Amino acid sequence: MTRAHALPWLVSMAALVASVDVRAQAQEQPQEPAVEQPASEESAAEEQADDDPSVDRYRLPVDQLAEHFLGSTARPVRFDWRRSPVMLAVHGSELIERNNFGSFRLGGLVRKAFDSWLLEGGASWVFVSPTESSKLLALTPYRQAGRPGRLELELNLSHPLFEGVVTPLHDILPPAQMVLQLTAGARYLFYWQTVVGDRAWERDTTWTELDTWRDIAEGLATAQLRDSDRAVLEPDALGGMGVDPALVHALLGFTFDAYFQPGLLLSVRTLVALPVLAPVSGTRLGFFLEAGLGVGWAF
Amino acid sequence: MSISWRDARLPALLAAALALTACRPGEYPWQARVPFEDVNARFTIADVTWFEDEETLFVFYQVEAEQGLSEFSEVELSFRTDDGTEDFAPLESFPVVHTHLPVECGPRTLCGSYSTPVRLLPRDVRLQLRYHREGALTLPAPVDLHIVNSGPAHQARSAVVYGVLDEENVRTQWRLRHQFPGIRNHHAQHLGLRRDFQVEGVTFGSLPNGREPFETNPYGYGLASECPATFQPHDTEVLETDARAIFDPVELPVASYPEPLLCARATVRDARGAFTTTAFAQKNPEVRPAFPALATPVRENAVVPFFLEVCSDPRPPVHRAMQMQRLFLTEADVLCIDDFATPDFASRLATTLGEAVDEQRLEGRDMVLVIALSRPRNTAVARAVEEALGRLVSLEAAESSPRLSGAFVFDSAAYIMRSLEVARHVLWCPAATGGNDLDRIPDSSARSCPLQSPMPLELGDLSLSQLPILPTEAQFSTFIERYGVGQTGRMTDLTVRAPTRTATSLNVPVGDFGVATFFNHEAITAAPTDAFSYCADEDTGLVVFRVEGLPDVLPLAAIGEVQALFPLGRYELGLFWDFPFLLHLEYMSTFAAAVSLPEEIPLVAAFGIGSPAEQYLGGFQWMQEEFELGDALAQCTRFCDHPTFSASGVYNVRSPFVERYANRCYRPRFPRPGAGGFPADP
Repeated sequence: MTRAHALPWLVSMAALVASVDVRAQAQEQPQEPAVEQPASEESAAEEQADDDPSVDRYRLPVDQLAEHFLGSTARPVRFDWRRSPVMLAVHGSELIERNNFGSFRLGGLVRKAFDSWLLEGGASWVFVSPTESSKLLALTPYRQAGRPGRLELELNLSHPLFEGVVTPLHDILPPAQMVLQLTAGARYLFYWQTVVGDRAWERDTTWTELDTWRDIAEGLATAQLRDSDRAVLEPDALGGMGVDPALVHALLGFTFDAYFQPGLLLSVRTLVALPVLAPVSGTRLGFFLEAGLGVGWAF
Repeated sequence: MSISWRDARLPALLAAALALTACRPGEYPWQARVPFEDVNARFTIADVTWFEDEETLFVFYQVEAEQGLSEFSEVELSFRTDDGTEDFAPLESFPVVHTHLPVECGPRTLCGSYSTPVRLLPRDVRLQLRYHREGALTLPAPVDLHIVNSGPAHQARSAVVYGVLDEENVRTQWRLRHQFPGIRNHHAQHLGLRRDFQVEGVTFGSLPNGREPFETNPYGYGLASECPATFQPHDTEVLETDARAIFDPVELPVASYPEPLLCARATVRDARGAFTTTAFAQKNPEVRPAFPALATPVRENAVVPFFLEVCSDPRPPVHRAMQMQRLFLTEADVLCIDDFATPDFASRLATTLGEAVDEQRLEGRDMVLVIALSRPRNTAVARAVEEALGRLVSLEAAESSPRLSGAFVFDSAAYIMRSLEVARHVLWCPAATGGNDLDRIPDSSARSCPLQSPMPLELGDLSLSQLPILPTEAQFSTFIERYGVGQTGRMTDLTVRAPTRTATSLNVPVGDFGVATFFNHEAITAAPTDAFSYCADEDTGLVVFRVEGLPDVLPLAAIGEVQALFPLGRYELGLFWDFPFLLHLEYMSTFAAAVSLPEEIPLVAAFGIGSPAEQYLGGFQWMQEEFELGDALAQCTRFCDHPTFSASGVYNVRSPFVERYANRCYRPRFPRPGAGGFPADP
């Protein structure tokens, strides 16, 4: 029963049973039967009805009243993420590269919807760890491409494929608005060591010379590490690691977002790095996966 | 019949799946693993040298790789002697003789050095790189093994000690120089080798046989076991360093100034202990500018004007007026030479000119005859004037100031002087090259008198030209026919500069036109042991020298070689010139244009644009009064057979000044206290 159908019925009920505050009960607890009203209030209402014969035709026994709905209500479960001015999230992900090094990212995301498009920007610190295999590799004259610890800047663009409100199977779970999106992403790898480089920062002229900053800018504004910058990074690389020269990567995959009222956001993402930029970035990593989980709030 | 996508999608998907499964599992691009890459490590230096006298084995190594070398990589050594075999072990595990600093050779390079005692001749010496000290994989090195057997200290030891002095020859710097068969001095230092050396007991004096011992032992290391007893002591402290050089903080005493050598006891260490022998320092050649500047006063000359004219056959008035204007002549300067064909004309004209010169001489200034010659196209007139000038200028050229420096003739026609003696002193314009029509002169560079610039241009009916400021009569006439008299320009100033001569000045002819003048006994005196260094520059090309008894003059560049072969003691310096004065003309040059109108209009429209111009004619060296020789000619007066420093500061021990710098620039860079302990010594 909808709210529009219940209202005339409630009005008549108020007129017939003055001692029962049906309006208030219908708004808050429509499922509760009127027979549960206190006995003293019920007696007073009957006395008033007996005094007014014009409402006789609306009279019904209490038992019959108890067999009808007293009213209905609705709780909002759909969440319109498109209207959210901004969304913030903490994001962690595992980089599943096809080498012998482990990489885990932890950072933050800022999201904003533009119509049905969702644009994200974020920054994450990437922790890189050795494995037993890479430790053994370090003892040999061979190296495997990998990426040292770094700051990763990201930009993602998503578009919904499926969307809807779902009902939880268990009462402890709230209903949610779920969105499955196709996501394209780009990553820029920032190595602070290349900014410091082997420059003589203790000299004042290093700070004041335009060439210093031009050289740094040139090193940053490129898709591939310069050989001199790679040489700076190699001492910091894990044993057995050959520094992969790529500074940019392109990814494609799916993002599954769940929105809970009043704004909780849960985002699960799986992206595949496509080596489409390899001709300019020189990456030797090929395909690798980025599987992540984000938790945030949509304002 | 058409097939929709809906109908075709299932077969298409099946076909795609079939195509993908056609590859064997593991070969899909997205299944590819990141490959292992060889670091391509290689030894670029693997040098091992054993010195018998020191019982020390030196190891120098450098390994390069594309990536992957780190502090965990290490170099291992093994060798065998008659005492036994040393199996592969890290270099650092062997006992060390000298100091070896860890060195940074680059991000992908591992390098260093090591020294260890080895008593007997090492055999089967091997080096290898262990990629990781905890790993089992190694890279063997192609070892360069050198064995230096026992011998003289300067040949058989891994280092020599020697001394050099600062620019003033009063402060001594004692140096150590590594000497390995396969590794240079600087390279050994860069690979981290340091060793202590000590210098004490410094003395000064000279050896009875001069520098003869240094011919086979250029640094003089270990010439004797003790310094000669004849040497006097220099009161200084014991000097010790692990750098490659150390300055003596105490200046040498005055008594040491004449002495060519310093001797000291130098101690170095090796696997056997301390080794002490003598080390020598050789004074630097004492060099100063041989002749700082050759100066001769150059003064502005007075003008003695004449307008020589064949009055019976005058030139067109416009041309005559042009000649007078060009040389600033007046009617008072006119001298009729109608009798040019009579006998003794030249003599009479010379007398007349001479009287004018003598009259001007009373004012005390050198002078120049400025003559406009207006004549018909008859070279006899010009020839007669040339003869008259010849009688005058050749005599005056050798006079002391005030004198006639020369003559300038502005002829109405081109003429080539016949006498070389006259040509040396007389500037005769216009030049004989070129035609009468300026628009048809092929190349302005072929003329010697004021040149036409720019070249004439013909652009359809428009022609552009410019009259030289000193044209022939024919050129002048042709020009004004097309462009008019107003476009011929005018002279605004005329000055003449020439050097003043002294009573002792001497002219020496050089070739057909050149003369070298030795103005005032400018000379360099040199002892037989002196040496010269000549360094050509802009001024020195004009300076020549002569020696007593030789008729010819020689370029200054030859003075070093002449002194080395024939130490003559005195060299007179003179200036070479090819013209005795410098004529400076300032004038308004007019760029003239003419447009030929159509045939039915028998007119030519001419117009011009005037602009100031100037020109120099004659000897350009008279623009200056002083010719700097200080940087060009250096004279060594003592220790000239000693080695010295190059411009880069390298001590060239096998290049004595007297042999190396006779015809080269001497710009030494001497060591200075405070300049560090690692001098340039490749």
